[in-house]
Amino acid sequence: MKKHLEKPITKKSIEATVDWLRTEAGARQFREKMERSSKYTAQMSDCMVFEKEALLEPVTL
Amino acid sequence: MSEAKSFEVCEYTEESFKELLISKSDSSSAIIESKQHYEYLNRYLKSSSVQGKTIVAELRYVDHDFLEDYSYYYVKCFRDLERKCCRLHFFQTSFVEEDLVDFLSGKPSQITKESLNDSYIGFIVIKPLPKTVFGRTCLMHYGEKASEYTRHFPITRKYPVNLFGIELSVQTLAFQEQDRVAAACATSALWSVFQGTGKLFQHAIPSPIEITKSATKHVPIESRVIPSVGLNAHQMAQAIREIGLEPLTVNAITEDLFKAHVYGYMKGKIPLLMGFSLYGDSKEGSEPRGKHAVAIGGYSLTEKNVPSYNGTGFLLKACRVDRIFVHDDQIGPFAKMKIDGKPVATIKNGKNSNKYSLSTSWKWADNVTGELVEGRAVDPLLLAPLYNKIRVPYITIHTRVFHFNEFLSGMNLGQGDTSSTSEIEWDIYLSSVNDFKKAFLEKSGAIDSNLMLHVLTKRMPKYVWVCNATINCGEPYLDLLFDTTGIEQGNLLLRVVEYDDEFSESIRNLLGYKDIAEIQSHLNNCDILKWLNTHNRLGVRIKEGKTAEM
Repeated sequence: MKKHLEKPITKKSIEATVDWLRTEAGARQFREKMERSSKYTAQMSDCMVFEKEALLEPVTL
Repeated sequence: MSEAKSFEVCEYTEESFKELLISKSDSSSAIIESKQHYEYLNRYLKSSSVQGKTIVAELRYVDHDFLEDYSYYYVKCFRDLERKCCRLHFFQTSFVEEDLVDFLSGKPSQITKESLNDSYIGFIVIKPLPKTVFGRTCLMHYGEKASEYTRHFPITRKYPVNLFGIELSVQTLAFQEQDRVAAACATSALWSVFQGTGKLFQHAIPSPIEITKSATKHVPIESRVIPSVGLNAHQMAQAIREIGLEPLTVNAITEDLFKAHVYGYMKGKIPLLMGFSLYGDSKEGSEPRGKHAVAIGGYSLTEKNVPSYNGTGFLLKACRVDRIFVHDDQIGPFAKMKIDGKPVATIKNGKNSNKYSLSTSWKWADNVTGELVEGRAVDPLLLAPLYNKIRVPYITIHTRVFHFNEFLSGMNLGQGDTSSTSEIEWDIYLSSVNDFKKAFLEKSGAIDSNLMLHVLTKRMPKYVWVCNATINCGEPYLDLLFDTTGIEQGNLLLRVVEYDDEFSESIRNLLGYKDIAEIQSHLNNCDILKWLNTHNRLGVRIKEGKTAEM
């Protein structure tokens, strides 16, 4: 089994990808990956959340 | 020294530098030797890439920033304080006072305008104060190599200098030490940041006293404003608003998030202000020593392979940032901070935790053991001063590209690739459209001429988010260009620039399978896939669809 592909999507790989997505297991595997990714992206906006106390502490050094 | 004397010339040595610092300020040998700046600047001037040889002291120099501070505070002191400064110029070539006298008298001299300019390192203004003597400092930074994997200082600019009619210049970002009267560290960091944004966004650069006053105008502190004891994040943000820019505050909760923001904005020439808590590097854990602020002036990239963004399989060029160079007013200009992944045990309000940290140049003696403790920067908070039309934040673009990358790597799963790792490396950064088009034009010859014409003549906003994808260690794959002025919830994609014929054909082929729900559901929810499905490679719409045309 090869670990990496040279290019993510190639002419050769399209048909195999489509066949795989048509299988129940393939579709489920793909859906699960994308669900995990959606959960992860939902957490990304945490960088815009601040502790109020941290913003009020003076920078004094 | 006679009163008429306007300059002095001496060979640069640690001793001569110290003598000048003492004699041209109101300080003492003990104070100068105890200052970290003195040690740091000597190390810099002696380094192999700088090699300072000669100092020219320009006497009774009128410094605009000090004069502003002087007129607001120092002039009203009971004790007489000098209002003129001394400016020390540093050169990489050796010459003596007679050489400069001969040159300025029009006599034959071993120095020329060219030799002075070629060997010019920069200057330091020495303020006539008892302790905080380092005023406006413009020194050239350490060299950048031709390679991409080296130091980058995208926000520096050319400072013209006139020394008795001799035109000199230095490429840098100005630095100065806090005087603890008009400015604490936050004000000094803001002043350096405004040195960068002033030229970029065309605003007046306020003096330290003006920054402190404007920061506290609407958000006052409990005690008196001047002498300044420091600013909080709200006040720093207010100082940015007062000059007509918008502050974007980022809570850099992970190391990769920190790197991504630093790289994404700094490559777009936006200087950043960083606030952080300073902790001692101890295994047992320590209470914070205090909060500090610095201006980020540069970064360096490592060529080594680095882990994916937060271990998600998303390869991001920004994760290669291994050091940042900061104007730390307690250390000096372009002080190195390593992003080395080291966790630090912290104790705050009785709570113990382990947090990622950055190295600093801070050192102090432990109160109990007396041992030297190295300072670590924890809980970094980034403040980006932005032009008001740069509305869409980095994280919005990062999220969209991440999702698209997940789709592409999801397609690999069917090929037996269980690593979930895409071979694509993403370079996400802010750019002016002029800089993007200039760089694109330089690729002329390597890109299809029709595509070149379509991209270069496309109307775009002043600033764009560029997401450049490469495969196989640098081979161009595609660029995604996003609008910075749009509505975050809407379609921000301006266009896709496709460099790979096989990708262009294959992705459109794949999107054409209407019977596969997994493809079609993502097609409806992803601007990038939608664009690829409705446009040809040149960017001409070939199908109907709800994508905005500019």
